[in-house]
Amino acid sequence: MDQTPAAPPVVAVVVTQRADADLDAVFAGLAAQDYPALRTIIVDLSGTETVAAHAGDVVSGAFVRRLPRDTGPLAAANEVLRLVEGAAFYLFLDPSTVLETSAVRALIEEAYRSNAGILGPKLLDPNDPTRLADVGAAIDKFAVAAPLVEPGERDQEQHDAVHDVFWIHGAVLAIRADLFAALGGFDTTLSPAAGSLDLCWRAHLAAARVLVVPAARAHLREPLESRDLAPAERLRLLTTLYSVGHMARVLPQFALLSIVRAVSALVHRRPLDSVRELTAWPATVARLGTIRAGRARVKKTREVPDADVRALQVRGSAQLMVFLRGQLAERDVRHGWIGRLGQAAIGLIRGGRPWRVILTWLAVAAVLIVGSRQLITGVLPAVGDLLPVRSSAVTLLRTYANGWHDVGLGTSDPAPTGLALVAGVVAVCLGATAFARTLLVVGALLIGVAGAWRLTRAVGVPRGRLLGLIAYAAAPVGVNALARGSVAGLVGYASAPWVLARLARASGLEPFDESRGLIREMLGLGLVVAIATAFVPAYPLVVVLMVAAFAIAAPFAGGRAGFGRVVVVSAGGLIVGVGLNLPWLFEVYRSGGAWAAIGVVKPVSPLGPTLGRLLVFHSGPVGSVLGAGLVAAALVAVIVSRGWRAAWAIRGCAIAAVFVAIAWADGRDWLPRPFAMPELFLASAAAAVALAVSMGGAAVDLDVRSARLTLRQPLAFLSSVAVVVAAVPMIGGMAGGRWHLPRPDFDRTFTFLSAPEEGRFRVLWLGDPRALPLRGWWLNDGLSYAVSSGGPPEIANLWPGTPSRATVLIRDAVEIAGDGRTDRLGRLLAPMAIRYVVVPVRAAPAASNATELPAPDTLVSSLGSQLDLRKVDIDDALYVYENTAWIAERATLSPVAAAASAESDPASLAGTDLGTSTPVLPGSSATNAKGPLPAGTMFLAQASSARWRLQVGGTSVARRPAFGWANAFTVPAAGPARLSYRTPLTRRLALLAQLTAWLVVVGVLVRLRRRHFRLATSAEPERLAAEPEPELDWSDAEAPATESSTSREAAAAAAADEIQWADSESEDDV
Amino acid sequence: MSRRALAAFVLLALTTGGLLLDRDRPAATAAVFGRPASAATPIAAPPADALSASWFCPGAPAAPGGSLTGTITVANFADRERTGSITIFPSAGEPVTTPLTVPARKTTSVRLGDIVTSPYAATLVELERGDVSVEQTVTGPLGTDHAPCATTASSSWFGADGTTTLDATFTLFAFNPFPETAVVDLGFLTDQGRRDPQALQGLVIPGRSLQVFGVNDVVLRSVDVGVVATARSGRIVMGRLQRYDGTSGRKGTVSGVLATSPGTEWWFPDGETGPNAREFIVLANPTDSDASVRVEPYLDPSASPVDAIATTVPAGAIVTVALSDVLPAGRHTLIVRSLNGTPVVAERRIDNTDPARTGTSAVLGARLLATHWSLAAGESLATVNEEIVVANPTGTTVTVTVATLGTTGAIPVPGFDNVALAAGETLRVTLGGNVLAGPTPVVVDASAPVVVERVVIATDLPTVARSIAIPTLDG
Repeated sequence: MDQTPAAPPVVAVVVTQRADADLDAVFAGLAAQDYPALRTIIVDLSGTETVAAHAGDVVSGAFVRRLPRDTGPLAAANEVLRLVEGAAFYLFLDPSTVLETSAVRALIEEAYRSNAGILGPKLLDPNDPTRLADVGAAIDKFAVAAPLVEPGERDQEQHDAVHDVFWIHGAVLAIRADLFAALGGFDTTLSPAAGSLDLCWRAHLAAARVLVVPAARAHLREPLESRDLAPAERLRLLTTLYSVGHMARVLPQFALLSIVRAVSALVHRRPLDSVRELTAWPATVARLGTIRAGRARVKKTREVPDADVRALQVRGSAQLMVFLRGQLAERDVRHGWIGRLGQAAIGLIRGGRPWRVILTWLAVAAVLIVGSRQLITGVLPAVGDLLPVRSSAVTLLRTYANGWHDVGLGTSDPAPTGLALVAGVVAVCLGATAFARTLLVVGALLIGVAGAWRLTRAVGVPRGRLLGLIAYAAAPVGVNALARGSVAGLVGYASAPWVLARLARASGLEPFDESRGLIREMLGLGLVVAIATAFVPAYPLVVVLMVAAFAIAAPFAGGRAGFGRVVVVSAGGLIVGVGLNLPWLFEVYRSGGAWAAIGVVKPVSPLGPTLGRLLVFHSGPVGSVLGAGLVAAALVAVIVSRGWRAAWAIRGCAIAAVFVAIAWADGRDWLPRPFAMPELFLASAAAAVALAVSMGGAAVDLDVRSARLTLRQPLAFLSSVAVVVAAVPMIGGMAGGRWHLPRPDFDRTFTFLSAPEEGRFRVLWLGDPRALPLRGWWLNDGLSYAVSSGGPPEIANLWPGTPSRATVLIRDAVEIAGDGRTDRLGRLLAPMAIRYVVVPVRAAPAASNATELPAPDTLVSSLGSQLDLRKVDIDDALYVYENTAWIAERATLSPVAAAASAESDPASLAGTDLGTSTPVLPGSSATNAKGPLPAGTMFLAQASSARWRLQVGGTSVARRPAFGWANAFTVPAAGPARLSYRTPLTRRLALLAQLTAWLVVVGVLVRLRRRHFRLATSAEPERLAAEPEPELDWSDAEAPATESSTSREAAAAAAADEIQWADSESEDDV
Repeated sequence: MSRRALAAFVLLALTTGGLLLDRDRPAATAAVFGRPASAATPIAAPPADALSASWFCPGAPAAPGGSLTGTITVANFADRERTGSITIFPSAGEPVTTPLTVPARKTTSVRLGDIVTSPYAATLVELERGDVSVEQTVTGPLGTDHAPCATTASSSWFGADGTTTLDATFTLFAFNPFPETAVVDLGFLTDQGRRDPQALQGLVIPGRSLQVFGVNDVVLRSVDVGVVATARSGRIVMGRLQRYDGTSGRKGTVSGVLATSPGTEWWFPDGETGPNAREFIVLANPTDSDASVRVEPYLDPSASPVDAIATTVPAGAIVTVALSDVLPAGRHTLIVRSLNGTPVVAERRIDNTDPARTGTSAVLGARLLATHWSLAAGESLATVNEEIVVANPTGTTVTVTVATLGTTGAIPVPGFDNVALAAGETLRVTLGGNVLAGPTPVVVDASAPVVVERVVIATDLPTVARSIAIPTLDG
């Protein structure tokens, strides 16, 4: 049937500004249209004859209108109002756009079908016609565009429904002729992009629909012009198109946004952008006349209120939405951290419904941060191992490097690697030691949950990932470690999911089968182990146990496939991790008798939590029986999962079981040596449970979905509920804002200990290891002794190391007093520069209500019986005694003491009043001091070493041992003196080797990571082309999975939909 | 069963088994450290291998020209000399420290009035290593008393026997040998009930000082005055000096340290009743509950047995049991037991009025049994007879050696070397005529724990001085 007479006339308007060969294709597209009533007007601004010639050759009947001057494309387009009469539609076509044959017909048909005012086609990518360039855009209230497609988004017909949009791009725009006339055409004072938005907006105000008709397709010859409008143009649109009332609400917000954007631009070294933001306002004010005219024009055609139009706009900030969707990051990756942050955000939300992911993350972060608010905003108390950092980064590094470790009575054992790491963090924090400490402690919680998210990344299924994240965050392991001041627990919580993820990837088993190379996994694991071991020497055991758990799970989880790789990677990781802590770790491990340097002092009786509490991760003040939901969910995961999900759920449960068992055995004193670090082991158990729960969550989408109701569906549902319910104790624990960490601490109680003018001194700590504010050595089962220098303990006391032969003399002296064999303990301790003896009976001052950990009466009474210890009343949680016989660490001895220093017999020492010695060579450094020195015997209360050197008047003074363990220098004549410790060359070489090893490992890791990234980037197009599923499908809110493996499994699961729980035995596919 | 089901079953089974096993958790125990100081007595000689030994003599007269003299006697039982110092803390003035050397197997005596000028003085004797004993002696016209010095301080002190009648002068010493100040509350148990004079509450005893209190000033004319001293902070050593002027029949001097705690068992190896010997057991109950007490006499095997004496000591009260009214004349051993577990303080007072044995003595019972006992200050002269009484309260026979200190070491008293002492029996060793005249340090060794008392009878003064010997802690 001939439809020509009925077809409404359409006039295509092409505004050409230059003549090039591509116009042929554009014109050819027009010529090929199957719409019978199409006429073409070419408004030529190029000033040449070429366009007319091309048009004439290609489009029969095309009318070419050459304008005498370049008035701009919008003004040129408006020429149709003058040139054309009787047209029903105008079709404005950019000269870089080629219409498919039926495009015009589809547009016009839809215009009548939907009674639309403005219509646009689906625009396809100029380089790849299988990808979308544009299907319209929304805007927010600030006129910022929110395109409906992402850059590079593949056309999979996901946008192929006709849909209302706010803004049709001007590349191809069809409009009813009467509407165009009523609106007065384009606003010629605007840019083409802003002009099309302005036209669409006014059409909306005139109650006309603006539609995208995907059946109409157009191919771009060039990249689409950006929809980013200049700030001045956006402000112009707002002031022109909004009603007064609406404008009054929006403009202040716009002003605020302008300031933020201006500052952001400055931060990213884009001063011009900043200037544009700020000058938008004066520029707009300068055009008040134009705005007034525009408002008058809008008023004439306005049919609907702003509220109706706002309903068509996106809520909130489109800019933020674009940012989160990664579009900004893709475009503005050059802009530094915003771009990277955007990409991180993409990674965050990739694989799931973004707002659910974001909300979950926000909730988890809020619980951790709000729960830690008092620790963040206030002072982190020095409780347990949370020792204060008082030294600068430089001092810490010097302590690390100078070869003399001032713990106990001093030792030449290597300083701990952790000291250097802390120094690094302090340096990064610009010397803010308190902030660095808070960052390390609170940051450990966030690193842990981030690790859980990373652990479940391969799972892919959003539900699984979210449940895994919630499960790990809900396990109160980290906060209980914090509450108990357990650095080991915090390190365990921060690292466990990362280590587990490394081992899982090392296995190469689905879904952790993304190849990264064993070397990279090995080094990555090694780096994590190295950092963790630097703070917890026992940490390598965690990796060993994890590997053992893999082996235990193997018979249930489908065999030993991948186990060899796990062993290889873990062995390599352990070698790297331990190696990076040499030579310090060698000295720690070497000591058999000083187990406290690795674990803890042996308790006198089992002290750990009950198994029931361990199973619900209730090792500290936070937790309840509700935590059993996590274990239950993990077990349900084993039952309801299939395939790799079941295998990993079983592995997760096996790992959790191993670590809970170890924590339990440790608490019952069944292990050969005690650790008393339940959170260190529970963290790994929690990570494994999170992995299992994650698998259960994935199984809900991939395995449980079924046409028929079986037992598995309610089980899966209930397990999800159980995971969420298990988080209740954490939410309850956040109320105080400090996770039950005591508010007062001994650090502030002991401020009186600082008296540098009286010479350097030490403090001897005795009592229950859990009450001591520093790590110590074995005094007796359930009792520790420790020494801090210069007052209360600080970060260096976190690593007591092996007690030197000299240090052991402290224990001997205390034991002598305890046995009632002397009441002159002060004299025995005097040469050790021990000025105070402190016995804490709580981990925090009495006001904190911390648990009482009483010291044996015999200890307290023996100290109270000493004739040279003066009791000092400070706090009910402390017994403090001042040694009235103490000698400063660097002192000139009285004649009696000088004579006594030649003896090493403690009986002689106990029977001798050492008299008054004079402190000399002041200074806080243990290894360097200078100052005037009188003649006599200069005593140095550091363990005897020939590397101590004293120069008086530039001449070295002979050294001899004093009291059998310390140093004495006979100074013949007074003069300026300098005391120093000469670091051995071997120690310097060892430190150099250690530093080099760290740099090499980190460097190689970075290089491997970059290479992997490059390979992945270069392979991306091919990968995308090969993938049948979209990377991120925003339109399909119910998409169960987004990653390839998940897609495969979804297909497999769909085929297995009919498998029921009842007959699962026959199809057990683990 | 599928492997998944098997895995779930194994996990559940392990968890259930673990939970069942975990129900049986051992109770937490406290950490142990060192050797507990004996709460039973403040007097226990440090072992020979001690690094140092300190002795606290709580107070004795030190006025150079006074009628009373205080002497410190240090006996070195070791084969090597002992060096150290003696610090005398006058009740008025600064402490004075002088070096002290005690030759091997010798005694050294120091008259307090030779070093300080003060009404009273306490003494701190510090010596390198152990195997020594220290006693203080108070001598005056009313008699002589020897008493071991303390080896530990305490935050609580108790005494049962004391009198503030017109014929008696009761003086208390609070000696603080430590650097820090002690704050002490002083109270008294009298036949009128407990008294806590306001003026004696919160007494500040500065570090390294001696404070002297006249009890007669605060407790008027009371026959029975027990002492309860509690340190709010710090630790002290408390002693007493009780003098009877003879105007009411009693005459003599009693000195020595008090007890650090009440107890449920007190041993008195030697007691005496007779026409000229009136014996009393003074029981003080410083607790808040009544004590049911039984006094068990052990007479010579030849004597007729007598029943134990039961009595109740009300809370915060003092009860005196006159043994002379119920026991036959003669020597005996006593054990005081609390039957209901409420501890009491038990002290024995004997008023000897025989012209040959005149003197009032008071002794806190022993609460510690030991295998090694020593005494530093005894004498054996023509006019002074020293008697060692060894009681065996155990249920088995023990072998006992009583020796005096000679130039070659401990020399057993003839006839008392490895003497078998049956269960419940008492051994009395009279040194007069058996040993050389002069200072006579004594050592008693037994194969099982025994309790030892010394009686010194001076006929010239005359005096009867009794004291429990010094037990030695096992090394």
